[in-house]
Amino acid sequence: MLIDVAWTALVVFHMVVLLYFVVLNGYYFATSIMSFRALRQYSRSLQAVDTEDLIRFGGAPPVSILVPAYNEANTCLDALSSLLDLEYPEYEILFVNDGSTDDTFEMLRREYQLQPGYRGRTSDLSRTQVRGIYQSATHPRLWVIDKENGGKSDALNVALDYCQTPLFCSLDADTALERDALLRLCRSFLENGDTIAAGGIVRVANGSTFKDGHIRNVRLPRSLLAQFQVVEYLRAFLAGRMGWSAAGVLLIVSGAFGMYRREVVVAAGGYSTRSVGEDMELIVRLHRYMRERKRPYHVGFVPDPVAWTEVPESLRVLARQRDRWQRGLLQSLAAHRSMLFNPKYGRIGMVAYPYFWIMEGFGPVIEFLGYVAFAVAIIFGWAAPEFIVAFMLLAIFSGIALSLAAVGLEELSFRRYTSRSDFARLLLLSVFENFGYRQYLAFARFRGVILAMRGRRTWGAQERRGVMSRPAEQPARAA
Amino acid sequence: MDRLLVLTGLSEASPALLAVVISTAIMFAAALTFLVAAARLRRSNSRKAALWARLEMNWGATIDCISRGSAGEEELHRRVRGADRAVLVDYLYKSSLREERPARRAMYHRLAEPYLGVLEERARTGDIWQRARAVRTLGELAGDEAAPIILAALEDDAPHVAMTAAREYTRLRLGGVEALLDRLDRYRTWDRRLLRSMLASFGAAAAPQLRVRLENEAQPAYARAVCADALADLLRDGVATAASVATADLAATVLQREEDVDLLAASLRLLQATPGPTPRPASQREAVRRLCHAENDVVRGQAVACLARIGDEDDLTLVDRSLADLSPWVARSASLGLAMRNDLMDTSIRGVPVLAPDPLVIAGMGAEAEDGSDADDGVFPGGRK
Repeated sequence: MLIDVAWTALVVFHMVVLLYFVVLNGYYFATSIMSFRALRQYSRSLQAVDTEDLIRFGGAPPVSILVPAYNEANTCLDALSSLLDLEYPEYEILFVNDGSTDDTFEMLRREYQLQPGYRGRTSDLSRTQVRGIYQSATHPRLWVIDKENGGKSDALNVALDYCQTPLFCSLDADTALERDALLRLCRSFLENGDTIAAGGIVRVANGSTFKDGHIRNVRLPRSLLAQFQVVEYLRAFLAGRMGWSAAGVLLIVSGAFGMYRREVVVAAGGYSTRSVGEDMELIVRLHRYMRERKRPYHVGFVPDPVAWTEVPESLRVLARQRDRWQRGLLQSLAAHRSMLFNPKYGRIGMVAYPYFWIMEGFGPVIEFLGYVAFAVAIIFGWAAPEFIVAFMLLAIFSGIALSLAAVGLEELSFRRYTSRSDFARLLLLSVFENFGYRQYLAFARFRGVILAMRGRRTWGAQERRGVMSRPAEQPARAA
Repeated sequence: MDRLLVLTGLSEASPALLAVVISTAIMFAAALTFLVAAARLRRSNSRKAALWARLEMNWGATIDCISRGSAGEEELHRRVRGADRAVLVDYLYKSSLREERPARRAMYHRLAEPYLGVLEERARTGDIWQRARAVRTLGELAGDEAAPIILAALEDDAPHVAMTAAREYTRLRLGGVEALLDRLDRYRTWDRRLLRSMLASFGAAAAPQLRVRLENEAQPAYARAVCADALADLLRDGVATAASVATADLAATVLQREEDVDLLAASLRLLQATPGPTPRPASQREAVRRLCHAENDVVRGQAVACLARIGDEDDLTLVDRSLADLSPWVARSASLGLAMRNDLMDTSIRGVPVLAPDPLVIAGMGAEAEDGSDADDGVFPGGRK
């Protein structure tokens, strides 16, 4: 009797897994197709644009770059040196030292000769005590706000409180921008006055060569784990967000590199301190805010402004990162659950939100338990082996097809990996990431779901090695 | 089909298994297709990049010879094959953009001349991006001679092409600002800052037209706001100060009559930018005072800053009260306004959440005020660069 119940439950669960698989891959293929069309059109549009024109002509609005940092002594100087040398007519950097316990602040003070400075507050979003505001004597566009620890969202809110420009760009402290990245991202605000938020592409910095914080030679990382993440980032940004953006249902602008209209973000309440996925939560709230007020708006993804970021090279750190992302996703979705299947929110409520809830939010549970269920079925002989094998092959081939499509989209548009060997390796990685890497991510995300359900809201320690200041790795191999 | 099933051993498979197997085959085919497509794309891109690099290297060397006088211009034309003409024009366009020496730029323009016919055709019949690119390239390489194409492109249905044409029209000064003001509606989707900067770049000559449009109540509010901001830019840059009294009166009239938030904010900025003795006439001050109680933060902040600039002693007490405004934005505007008046510095510091009110802070605050900083206005401390 018990066996019968278990068997029936297993059959039902297998059906759920199958359905999940079909719908998820259907979505992925649909977004890949939309991305293909959008990227082709975008690449063509780039032929008609000269970013230098924006500088020459004027009219590019001033931008503040908000950089929250907690214990970023290893990376902040490199990141700042790239930020201080951007091609943009008017910008300033608001670097927030969020109560670091290492010597982040001391390093900045020495390197940039920080002196106490005055800034008036323009909003009142933050909740923690600011210890001091400093301006660099050597680089007047650099401001450092030293505050007590309150988390990333609070650090961003403090920066927003002192932000005086119509646009701001949020950036992680371990991220280096390409020189024209701000200009390129700003274009979407210039060409469409209704744009309230836009995200650029985040690429993997590991393995590439940097000089003075700027990319010199784009190469794949040496670490296999980081290489897999290159393919994954291409898939997420070029095949995923580009497609979502084209369909007008983009729910995520990466916190590592996004630009926003200050006025709207402040009016919507700034960054939420209740979520570890503050970037996604903000975008969901902006959608909600604008739709509830029936104001025209646009949230988009722009594929050519590039931010380079360091990715984890150890399984432990990677798992921690993905677990946090998953918790952030669920917390963001839960905070606005009234949008789910709510026609008042249009495509966001009826398409994007349900997709993220079911497929991305709880998908890892189905996926991870699916592996377990298949294993159980095989062990107990409850499923035909040929079916299991065929289904595994289907999962693998669809994963390979999607990753290859993403590599193809990169080649179609920006082809940043110019080396022939790197390209060949990208193709191989698209195949091999399906054997182990994806399953590991499913496990990490599954763990994130469990921790989110148990109410964990902490970030956990982050380890950064400062790949943008390690010149040794690349030249040897390039030679 | 039956034979295929028999051959693959699936003739007795369940429908579910059959569906999975077929899907697997499709995915396998898709993966293979993407693999081949990516590889072919790579090969084609690499070949194209290598070809262009080779061509550009050859052309660059020839152009260097031409500029040194060791070769004639016909040498370059002789080296250009029919299929490479578009690439050459693109190369000359980019070189011209980067070049600062007028003689060298003129040479690029001369060298491009025989090939511009293709672009003229493309500006008329290409897709949106080809048309926009053709207009931009013709503007750069043909200058005034491209005027008919650029003027025609001002009427293009595609906003992107129309905007590219408007920018070329402005850059080359192919006519007065009226042509753009008549078409402001076509640029509606674009950021207003860009439009205002474009209009202001026409200089003092544009001011009378901008005033007329601002005054015209039949114009859409957004267009009037853009004109007000362009006028303010001209005044701030010390241009178009001739009719500043009339401009200030006009701004005050708009403030009295209109309700659109953007138009009000822009008119307040304009009034603030107009030079003149302080305090200003009562009618102007009254119009601004009323808006110091506006519901909208931006309007209230602008009104407070404006009043600090043009008001009398009584007005300053109202500004002083705004230091305690619930909106930090308005409080900041009040403090900056007062600091700019340079006579109530200590009061302003009291009202702002200053962390360490030492001499450095006061100096910094003074600097911020002198910049005329205002995020809505598109400027922040550090000034216009």
